[in-house]
Amino acid sequence: MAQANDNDVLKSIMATFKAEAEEHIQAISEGLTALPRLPPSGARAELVERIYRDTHSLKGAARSVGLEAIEAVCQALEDVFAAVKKGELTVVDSLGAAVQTVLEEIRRLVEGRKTVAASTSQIVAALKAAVGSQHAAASPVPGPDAELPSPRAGAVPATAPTETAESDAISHGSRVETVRVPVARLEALLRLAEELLRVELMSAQRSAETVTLLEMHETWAKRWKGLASAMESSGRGTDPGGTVDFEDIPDLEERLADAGQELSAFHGALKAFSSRLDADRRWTCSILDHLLASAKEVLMLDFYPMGQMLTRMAAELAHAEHKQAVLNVHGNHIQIDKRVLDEMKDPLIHLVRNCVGHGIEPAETRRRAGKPECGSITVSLSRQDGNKVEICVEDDGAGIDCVRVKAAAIKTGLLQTSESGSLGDAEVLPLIFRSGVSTSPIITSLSGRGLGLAIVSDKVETLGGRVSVDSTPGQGTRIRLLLPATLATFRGTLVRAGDRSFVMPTASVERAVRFPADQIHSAENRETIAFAGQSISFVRLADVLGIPARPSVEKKSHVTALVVRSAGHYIGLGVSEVFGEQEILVRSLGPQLASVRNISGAAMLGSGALVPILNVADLMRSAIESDGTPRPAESAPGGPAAVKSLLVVEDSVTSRVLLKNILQSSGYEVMTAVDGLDALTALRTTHFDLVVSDVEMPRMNGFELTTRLRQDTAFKDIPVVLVTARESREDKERGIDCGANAYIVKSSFDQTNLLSVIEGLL
Amino acid sequence: MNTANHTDQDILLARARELARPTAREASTEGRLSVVEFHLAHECYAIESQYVAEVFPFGDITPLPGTPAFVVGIVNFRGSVLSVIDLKFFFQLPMKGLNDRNRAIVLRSGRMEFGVLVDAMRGTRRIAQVELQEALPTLSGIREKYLKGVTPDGVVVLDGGKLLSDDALVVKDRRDKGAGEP
Repeated sequence: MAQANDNDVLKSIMATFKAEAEEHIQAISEGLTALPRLPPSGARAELVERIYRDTHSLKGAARSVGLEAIEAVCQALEDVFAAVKKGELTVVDSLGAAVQTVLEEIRRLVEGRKTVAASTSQIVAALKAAVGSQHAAASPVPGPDAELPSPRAGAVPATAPTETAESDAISHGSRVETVRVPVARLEALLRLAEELLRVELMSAQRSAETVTLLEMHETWAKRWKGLASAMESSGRGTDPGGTVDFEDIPDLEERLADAGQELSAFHGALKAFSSRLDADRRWTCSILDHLLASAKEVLMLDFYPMGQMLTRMAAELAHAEHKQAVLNVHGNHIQIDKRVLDEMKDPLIHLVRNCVGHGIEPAETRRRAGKPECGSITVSLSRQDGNKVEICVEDDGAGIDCVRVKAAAIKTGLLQTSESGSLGDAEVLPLIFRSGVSTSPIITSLSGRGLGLAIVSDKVETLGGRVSVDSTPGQGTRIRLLLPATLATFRGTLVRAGDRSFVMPTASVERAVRFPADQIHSAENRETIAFAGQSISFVRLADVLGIPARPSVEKKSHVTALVVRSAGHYIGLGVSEVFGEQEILVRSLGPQLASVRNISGAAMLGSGALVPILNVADLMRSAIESDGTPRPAESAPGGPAAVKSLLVVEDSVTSRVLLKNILQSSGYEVMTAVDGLDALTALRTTHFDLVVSDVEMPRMNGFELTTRLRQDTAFKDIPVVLVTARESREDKERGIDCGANAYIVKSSFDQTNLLSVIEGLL
Repeated sequence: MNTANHTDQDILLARARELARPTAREASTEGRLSVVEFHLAHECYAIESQYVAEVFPFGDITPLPGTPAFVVGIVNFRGSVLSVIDLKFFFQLPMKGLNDRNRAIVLRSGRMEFGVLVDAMRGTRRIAQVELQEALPTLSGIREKYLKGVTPDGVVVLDGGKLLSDDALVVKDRRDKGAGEP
């Protein structure tokens, strides 16, 4: 980046930091207020954990922008919450108030003002004293606030009014998401909204005009009625059914002419009215289009902050792995819909982690290969046709070893040994996006479960994008993600399965085909059809989804199918009917339906009807599993069929209880041990399916425990998951050496991660 | 037109105030609960008004394949998607088919929101908390979990907070089990 820009960049970083810091401070402050009112159970521990993480994130953010004073205060604050977490310290009103005062000081520091009340070192000292005094006295009323040199302590309200709804909201982890929008954009939006006022004026006018039209029509109708009754009375004198004597009707010609004139005036007015209404409609449509476009723009964000985050992350990861690597971003100022950016955050983090973890070689290896010692990772963005953005993540590392990909694919059953020989690199590479394919020898928080790239590809495809990879051994890997820049331009193909409608993302549909039913071949319980010269699996959508098919339709002589593609793999999906294709807006299924098998969201059609949107990647896995036979329809929630029993080895009582609760609530039977020796004893008396162990423990640590288990014939195959606070390459390697199956770092330790690892190993 | 809007607005405001005022006071200071009463199958249930965002009559409901049996489907809730569940499943009540007068009580707290299918509405009322009795021993386990108590006239009062915070009611079923992490 050019020197001249540095100042701007710095400003922009500081602005980002201020916003982020404010969010963290707010969250910590709200959390503290809510804490004493929560029951001292899981909910409180969860909230403490969240406060702790917020403090940690704030510290990290301060460090990354070089604000050492804030970093120091946060470190002290973090120690306080760490003590709370361990149960050594209780948050009582006085401690809460003291911390609130400190938060106020941090706010001042963030805003660049000197602290008025205390110097940083005093705050730190006071907080340290807070930890110390409560620790020593073990009394619920310590004097830390008295020691705090801030006169503001009394000014901070101890608690907000007790409103159960509010504390509920906090304990459910709701936080208002914000977007920074340039004022100019909002002004444009407001102008357009104001223009819509004209719609009301226009409708008022049209409504007045219809009244005039009605009056005209009534005048004419009256005259016509008069004529009709005159005709009737003139005819009544003679015999019934006889002719009317027009001569008897007074002023007949004149009255007819008047009626005719009125009718034609009415017609003219109606015609004018109709064209004005049409003009109104056109105007309204155009203003609505503008309004929608402006509203969408409000959610368009620069890639810049994400680029910064990736750059920082790559540097940190490289440092931790003892490698040299620099990440550069091109196209920082390309704008992408916030919703797309949010969805792409995890996939991009994963790709960059892969670059550092697998791609870039150690400096020594690079030098021997004649490459610069410092590896280079490039993230480049470019606009593409059709409102799309391409994000390309590239490294100049070792490249992907196709032989190992093949081996991994054979191991997971994706590939037959016999067919693997004939496959070229172009066919093998896309397999890395398939679930369960990993070339890493051990599971770590960085990699190894073979899920990462599958998730990347799923996310991209859910957004209606595409992912591709190319790699040259020894020269590097390039992964391209083609994404929609806004979410509005999502095209869906409408299909019916049984009597229900579904939307299939058109981006995943290779072709819709119709063929005679006898072209379906069955072999080894599977049905296949021919497509583009190869034989692909054929399944009926209704069967995969487990919904009743309509036999009358399914037994037709011809079959309609969509050939869909996911991660370079094709499949034919039989449907009852394909009945349209249109632009659709993806909507989430709401908070209660966090994720539903095979379905990624819902589309709202013009009629207001909701239609489920199919998740192609999910569907493909379901199809492979379902084997073409109907799976039991929608079942009730319930635990796993056979309850697996786990042994949790952890010396910290808090972590132990937390882990136990998490695992129990996921349906496992859990026993605990306090260290390695204790665990060995437990294992000799009881059968366990898996061991989850901390690394650092008294008497016998996690590495020693794993080594002992692997030496024992009775336990050499039991899965061992090591959970640790230390993230270092040496430890990871030691984990591999002693034979652990997975190595999870606590910093990245969230429930889903641990649970998915355990599920994968059982 | 404007004046008409004003009166509508005024009526709505007055109603909102009317609804809001007694709830807060009576629930907290006088130990009285404001509840919304409704029928599930042949039984009468109630839920605290505090958690009830509104009662919503809906037209078409879209069932979702692969969801647990208690999920009825999704409905268009004024332009956004609302999932609707059927508590009858948990209370072992006969699950009737849907009719053309379907209503859902929209429960909301924090970020959680969903509709509860009801067979008929009875209206709102206030009940004294002291009058609430413990669950009858015949009630099944899962039913007891969501129970706040039973009124002397046999109305089963459900705990809206527990319903809204119960993780077991949140459907998290996808093949890519690690979707939430990098």
